[in-house]
Formats: sequence, C-alpha cells, structure tokens
Amino acid sequence: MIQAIFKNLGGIQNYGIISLCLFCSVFLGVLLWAFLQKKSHLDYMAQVALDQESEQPRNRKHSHE
Amino acid sequence: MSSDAMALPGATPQERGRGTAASIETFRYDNHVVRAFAIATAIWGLVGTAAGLLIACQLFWPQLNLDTPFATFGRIRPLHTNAVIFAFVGNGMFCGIYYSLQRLCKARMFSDLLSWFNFWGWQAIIVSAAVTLPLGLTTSKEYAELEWPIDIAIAVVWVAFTVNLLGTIVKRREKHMYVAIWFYIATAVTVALLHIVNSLEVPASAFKSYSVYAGVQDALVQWWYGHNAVAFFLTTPYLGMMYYFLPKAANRPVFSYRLSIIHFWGLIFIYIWAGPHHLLYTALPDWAQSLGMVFSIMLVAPSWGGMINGLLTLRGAWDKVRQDPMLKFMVVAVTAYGMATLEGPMLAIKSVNALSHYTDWTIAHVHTGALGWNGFLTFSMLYWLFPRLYNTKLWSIKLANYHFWIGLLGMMFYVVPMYTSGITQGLMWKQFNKDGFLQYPNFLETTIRLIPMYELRAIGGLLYITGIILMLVNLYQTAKAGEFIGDQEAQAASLKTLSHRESVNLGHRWLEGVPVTFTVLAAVAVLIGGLIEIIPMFLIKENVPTIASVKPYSPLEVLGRDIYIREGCVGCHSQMIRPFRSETERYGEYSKGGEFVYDHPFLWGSKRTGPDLHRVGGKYPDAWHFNHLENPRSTSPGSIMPNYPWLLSQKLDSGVIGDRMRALRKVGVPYTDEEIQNAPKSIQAQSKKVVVNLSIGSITNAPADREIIAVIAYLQRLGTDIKGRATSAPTNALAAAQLRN
Repeated sequence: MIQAIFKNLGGIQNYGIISLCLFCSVFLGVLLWAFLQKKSHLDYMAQVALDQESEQPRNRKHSHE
Repeated sequence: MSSDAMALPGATPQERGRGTAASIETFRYDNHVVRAFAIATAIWGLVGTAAGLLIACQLFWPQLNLDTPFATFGRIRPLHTNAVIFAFVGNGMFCGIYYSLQRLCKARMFSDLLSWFNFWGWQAIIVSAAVTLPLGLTTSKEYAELEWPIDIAIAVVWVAFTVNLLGTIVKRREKHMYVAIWFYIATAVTVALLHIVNSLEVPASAFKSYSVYAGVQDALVQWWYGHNAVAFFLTTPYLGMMYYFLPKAANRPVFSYRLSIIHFWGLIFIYIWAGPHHLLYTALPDWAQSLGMVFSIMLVAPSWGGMINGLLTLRGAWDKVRQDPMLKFMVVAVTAYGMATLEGPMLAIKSVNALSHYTDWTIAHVHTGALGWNGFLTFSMLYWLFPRLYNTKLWSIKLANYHFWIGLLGMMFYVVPMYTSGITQGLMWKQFNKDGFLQYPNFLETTIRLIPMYELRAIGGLLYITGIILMLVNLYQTAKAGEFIGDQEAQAASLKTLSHRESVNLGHRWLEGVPVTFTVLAAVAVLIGGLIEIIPMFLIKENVPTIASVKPYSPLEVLGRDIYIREGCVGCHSQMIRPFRSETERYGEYSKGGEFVYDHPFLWGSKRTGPDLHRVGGKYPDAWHFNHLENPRSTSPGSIMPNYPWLLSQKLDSGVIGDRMRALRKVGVPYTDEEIQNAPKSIQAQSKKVVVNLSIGSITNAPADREIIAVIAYLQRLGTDIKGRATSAPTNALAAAQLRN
C-alpha cells in the first residue's frame, strides 16, 4: 500500500518548499527549546566534562626539556 | 579520592551535601582499550598518510606505479582513503569515545569483552582492507569499496560498539548526558544505518558483488552515504571529542551549553539532506539537486555555531595556547573545521560547483578537513592522553611544537597547490577561444599544467608525515618514562541515589536523562532527510526516464566492466557528462539518467584526473585502446596514467560469467536463461570481432582470451546506446537551458 501511495505521489516541485518548512519548524523548535532551559542546569552541564579530579597526572616527572 | 559526600563528582550543586558515604561506589576506568586504540590510531595514521604520499607521487612520476597491478594508483587510492578514514580516524574516534564516555558516565565500559571485540574486530577489518584493495577486490563505491564479507564484519563490529556505548550510558552514574555523548549516540546510530543501506549488494562470488541499486538511484544512495560518512564518521564523533577534550585542556567549561544543544540538533537534522550536492548538474533529478544545495547552505549555521562555541571556550585562556602544544593543535583543528564547513556549502552552490567539481578543488577541501580537523584533533588528543595514561609528563614539549609547525606547514603545502590546481583545471576545461572552439581541446594539456602543483603537494604530504613520525617518537618516549595505569580507580554516587531528586521536566534536561528516547529521537532526526530524498527516487518513475535503446551489457562487456572496477579506473575517469557546452563540445552528448539503468554499480566518478569516458565508445579504434592501455605515453605523450601490461598477459576468467549474470539478474538486469547459457559463446564471438579490429590497426596475433579484449569491448560500448538514434528528451528543463546556452 505504501508503495502504491508513493508511486502515485505527484508534486515533486513542492518537495523543496515542504522540506524548507520542515527544516524551519524543527530548527525554530530546537532554538526555542534551548532558550527555555534553566540557566542553572546549563551551567551545571557545562561543568560535567571538568568534574573529574583523577585525570591529572600524579607525581609529575620532569619533561625532557 | 575523598569519600566525603560533599565532593561527590556525580552530584549536582543542589545534591551535594545530601548524599551519604554509603551511596558512594568505587569502580575502575578501563584504560587498556583506550591505549590500544591510541596506539592503533597513531600507527595507522602513519600508514594511511604514507599511502597518500605514494599516490601523490605517482601523479607526477607514473613509473612509481611499478607496472604491477598491486601498486597502481587505482588500487592504492582507495587503500589510502580507507586507511585514513577508517583506520586512522576510526581508531582515533574509538580512542576518544572510550576514554571520555567512561568519565562522562562515571562508569567503566559496559563490557570489556565487547570493548576488545570492537578493537580486534576493527583491526581485522583494516587488515582485510589492506589485503583486498590492492588485490582489486572492490565494489568501487567511494569509501564503501570493501566487498560484502567485510561489509558484514563491519556491521557486526559496529553493532558491538553500539551495544557497548548504549550499555555504558544505561549503567552510568551521572544523571545527565553531556553534549559529547549525544554526538557519540548520533554517530553510532547513523553510521549503522548508512553502512547497511549503502552496502546492500548481491554476491556473485566470495569477493564479488553487485549493488542492488543502479545508475541514478545508486548514485543518490552512494552520496547520501558518502556525504554522511563525512558527517557522522569524520565530524560528529570528533565534535563530541572537541566538547570533551577542549574544555579539559583549557580547564574551563564550554562557552555556551545552550549553543551546543542547537549545534547538535541543527547539525544532525540538516547534514543528512546534503548528500545530493555531490551530484550537481548530473543526471540526478533537479529537485534532489536543489534540496542538496539548499540544505548544504543551511549547514553553515550549526557548523559555525559549533566552531564558535569551541573557539570561545578558550576565551581568557589564549595565553595557554601559546604554551601548550595540545591546545595549539586543537585551535587549528577547530579553525580547519570552520573553514571546511564554510567552504563545503560554498562548493555546494551550483554555479561554484560547475567550476569546482571533478577538479583538485574538492581534494583541497577534503584535506582541509582530514589533515586539519581530524588529523590535528587526533594529535591534540594523543598529546593530552598519553601523559595521563602513563601518569607522567609529555617527554618533549619542544618536539610537539616542532610537530605542530611542521604539520601546519605541510598542510599549507598540500592545500594551496591543490586550490591552485583545481581552479586552473576548472577554468582550462571551460575556456573557449575567440572562434568559439575549446581553447584546450586536448584534455592532456590541462593535466600537464598541474604537474608542478602535484609536486608541491607531495612536499606538503612529506612534511605532514614527518610531523607524525616526531609524534610517534614523543609518545613512545612518554610511555617509556611513565607507568601505565590500566585500571584507573574512581568513585561516584550511584545513579539510583541521585535520580529520585529529579523533578519532572520536559525540556532538554529530561531528554538528557533518558538515553533510549534520546537515541530514538536522534535516529528520527537523521532519518527524515534520507527518507524524503531516497524513497521518491525509487518509487516515482518520472525521476529516471527510460530510454528504449538502452540495453544490458553483453557478457564480454560485463567482464570488461568488472576489470574496469577492479583496476579502480573510476578514481580518475568520470562517466557523467554535465550539460555544459564546454563538456558537450569536449565529450559529446550530455549524460541522461536513463542510460544508467543497468549500471550496478554506477561509475560516474567524482574526479577527472583523466578525461570523462561516458562517450568514449567508438571515439578511437580498438588498436588505440590496446596501445594506450599497454603504455599510455605511446598514444598520449606526457600522460600520467599507469601502464596496464598485465591486461595483455592475464587470461580472461570467462568461467565466472554465469554466476555474474545471475547475480545481475537478481538485482534487476533482464538477462534471460538463454542469454546466460549462451554467454561463453557470446564472449568468444565478440572477442573475435575485437581481435579482427585490432589486426586492422596493425596489432596482429592479439590473443582473444586476454583481459584487455574485454576492457576494450566495454570501453567501446560506453555511451553508444543513444548514438545514431533520436536521443531522449532532456531529463529536466535546466539541462535543456544549459544546452541552449
């Protein structure tokens, strides 16, 4: 059935417009979503990568220079 | 590490102070597999770029092809691209993911067994590529050249990696998934999808298969894959690594986490649509070309958002960049990402693409990304990682600085000559004299002009490789001086202890806590573009108008085409004449979609180091092809094409024709039982005709059972189906308009 629908699908010329509308709505949605986030949460998340103490080299030896 | 709940690394600021010592779990990060991938990426980086240097030299010194099949440009070029993409970047990606994912999830990898299966499986795939590609076992589809048994192995290993990735995320101790993890999820899901869809093929033997798609459809699927291999193999995992390693190196948080949300969703949603920009002005329907172009231009926005986010993370820390070679590499990597992602959309504009396509401009573009973005980011990560894995300091900062400057110089020596070469060649192809004829009708004139640029490019490659060797020495000495920490102990509160405090939130905060939902949404985002472009291309007939005179290849031509694929001829010769006067004057009638309906796979190519061959059929006598293949300089003085003497000596394996025709029938070529049964007779009859033609051209006693006979038969067939007949109507109005101009 799906194949039949696609086979009879016309209006290829509208694909560009449909795609553009789809893109704009998704992009604007994501934009809105991002700006509605709480600042405290975003600040916390930004720190996540830094939130590990154990990765600094311990007992640093002198470098070659 | 302190067991004080106040210092719990997994707790939010609000949560800190509420936990108890009983909620803390002790575990160990697996550094063994990280080290294995780190060593692999460093070594394969050297091997892949060395293969690149070899083929770069072959382009101005054809004798380096050594007159042997295993060393020719056509077979080594895919070895170079596969080694750099899947061996160097692939191992670099796994290294970065396995290291950062464990820390971001505060958990050891889900399964050590899967980690090592991923590592050894991936190395086995690389080694099998290194063996099969020089043997000429190839599908010819760019960056997807490996034959079907290896394709299956790739799928299995990739699934193991994905399970390990998602399993680790599920058992994490950090409630929210940091932005780097989103990029890793998108990578895992999308690469699996791209690989499986593009690799659908019907085997004809253990190492020979035919793509289930043909012509226009194969081209669309291939470049949907090819472009998104760049997106989701070379870009998204490295963006995740940028979001992890850059803040760590600069010791400051990412500039804008909000921007990273927009960067991620914008990028993965748009990238998948942009594939058709590799097929502008080809026989691909115009609507698909336009979609590819428009979405490519939109891609600048999220890409630059990410680049700016990366560079601004260094605000207030630029003094560190002066001192820390790791940050120097990172800054150049992010800048190269910005340059490549601005240039890419520019090249996707049809009028720019008309000049740039098939030239070295594309080579310059991809190497800005490969050498700058992937290469420098990998080096940066390795310089950061090795001292930490070995609990010591980098052996020589001075040597790392030398590597940086030599590598940067090498990159400049690579890309500047290639830009010059690309624009020079594009302009020469299109130049008409005052009488309205092509200024440079002999294609070879345009190739010879580029040789000084090719020589300079090789110097660039040599410098870049020298830098890698310095890095290997530095990393080896660092490892030697330190003590490897294989299982790094860490502590964190369990997720159960923390999760009950999460309030209901339908924003991104909620999504970051539900990895399965996140994965599904990311998959939907990348699927939309692919489905909208691919499904109509297959199901709406008007996209590929059929041409009654186009018939399947004869058995001898099938074998000749397979040899053409085996030798990698598509690496230098396109089979797609664009509807420009400069091309129709040079090559003949422009190519139409309906001419490729039996082409499994399509062989349109993406680079013209030599001329287009779509209408070469009947252009030269058989004897010319014979002499040209034996020694191209005998017919075309100054040619940089390799000699193919083995085609004259190797016996044609006509015993395989039955299996091949049956496989082709399975993918839609309408061979009858009778045709398949009579194929050996047909081969003999057509071979005899070629031999007679050769004798007319003074090549007497040419044996009829050699491979060169099949190649000549195939070349003489190319583009002839519509010659001497009324050609079909232009496939689109634009093509017609171009011709009128």
